[in-house]
Amino acid sequence: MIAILKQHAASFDESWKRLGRQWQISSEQWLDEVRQAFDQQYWQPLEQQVGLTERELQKVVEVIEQAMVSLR
Amino acid sequence: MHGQVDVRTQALVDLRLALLIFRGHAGEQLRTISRLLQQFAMDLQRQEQISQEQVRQAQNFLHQLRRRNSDVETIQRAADQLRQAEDRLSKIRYHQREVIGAIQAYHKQAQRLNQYLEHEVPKATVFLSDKLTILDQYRATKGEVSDQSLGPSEQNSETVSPTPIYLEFIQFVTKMSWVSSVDWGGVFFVALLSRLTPQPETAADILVYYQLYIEYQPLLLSSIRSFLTRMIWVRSANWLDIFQTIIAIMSSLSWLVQMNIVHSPQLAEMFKNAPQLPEQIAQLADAHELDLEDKREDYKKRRQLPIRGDYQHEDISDPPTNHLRNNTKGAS
Repeated sequence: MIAILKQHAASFDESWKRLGRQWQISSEQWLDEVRQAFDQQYWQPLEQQVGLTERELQKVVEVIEQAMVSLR
Repeated sequence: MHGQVDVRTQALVDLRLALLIFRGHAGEQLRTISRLLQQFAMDLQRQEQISQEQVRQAQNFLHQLRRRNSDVETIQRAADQLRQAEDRLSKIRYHQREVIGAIQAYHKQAQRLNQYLEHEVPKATVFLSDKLTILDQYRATKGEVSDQSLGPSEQNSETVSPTPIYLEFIQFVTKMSWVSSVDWGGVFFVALLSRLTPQPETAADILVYYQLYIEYQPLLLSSIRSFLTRMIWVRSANWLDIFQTIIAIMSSLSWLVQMNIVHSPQLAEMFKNAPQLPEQIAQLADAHELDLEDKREDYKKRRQLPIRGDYQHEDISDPPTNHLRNNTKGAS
């Protein structure tokens, strides 16, 4: 089951990276103050929330792995 | 200049779609992860119950041996077994606390992200839609005037590729957006859906497209109907292109239906309840094509009569910036 959990965590990360790549491409074509407003108002908070979620998820995976090894 | 605005428009359209796809994917992944974590927690709880039972049995066994005055060695072995069972129970309880603590911390954060996906990401897409409208209006009103915000290196790159149909569709609805009685949100979504024409690569992509479709399908159909009914008298629009776009959108949805049948029996079952959109739209298109000439005559007559009925609040005789006659040609 831990493998499935890791798979979903990786899939979530891949979705995020795909959006990140699109943001990179779009922001290169969109060089004005509106882009900055979007960056500050929406992109940075989203980036922060996703980053925190991934970190917490990583911790859960580690704790579960430790438990599985210890209780084997 | 138009080439640069087109590039920027494309960048914003792509970003808006990527945000919507991420919202769908992430929501789905977070739900699945939550379910898996819940299973882990339940699994640990089961282990704790089993371990507790083992401790109880070991205690009973030791108690019986003592009552029967069994030999010291047997009692010692039973006491060791009880200690081992108690150690395991304590280890399980320790990990249970650790895992549940970590899961709770994760859930708290995942909820924050979910809230953000639910409430802020739609605002972000609306923000992008607004900017797209502004860009389009800029293109419509400024024409050949150079874009001062573009860098010097960008100003000469006038490699304008043929405009995709969906972009023309967006341009058209943007120019028509002063007509208040049309559900423009829905019509813009039609344009957005036309970006789904590239075939999705994975079952997860299909699921996202499907969710978008289910969410907006009633809006989509009513918007197309409203759009066609209200706009059919605009003679300068390239109706053939618009119908082709709508039919292309519907064909891609039909393709998704087939893919869903291949990938997911559950989704296929849900799709059984969805109307046969491509046929309906094709019929609608045929019907309106026949009506087009009549509507033109009707429009001519309306121009000579006082405004009434549905168009009472829509100043069709003097649309803002006179878009009707001039700018809808840009959509063709």
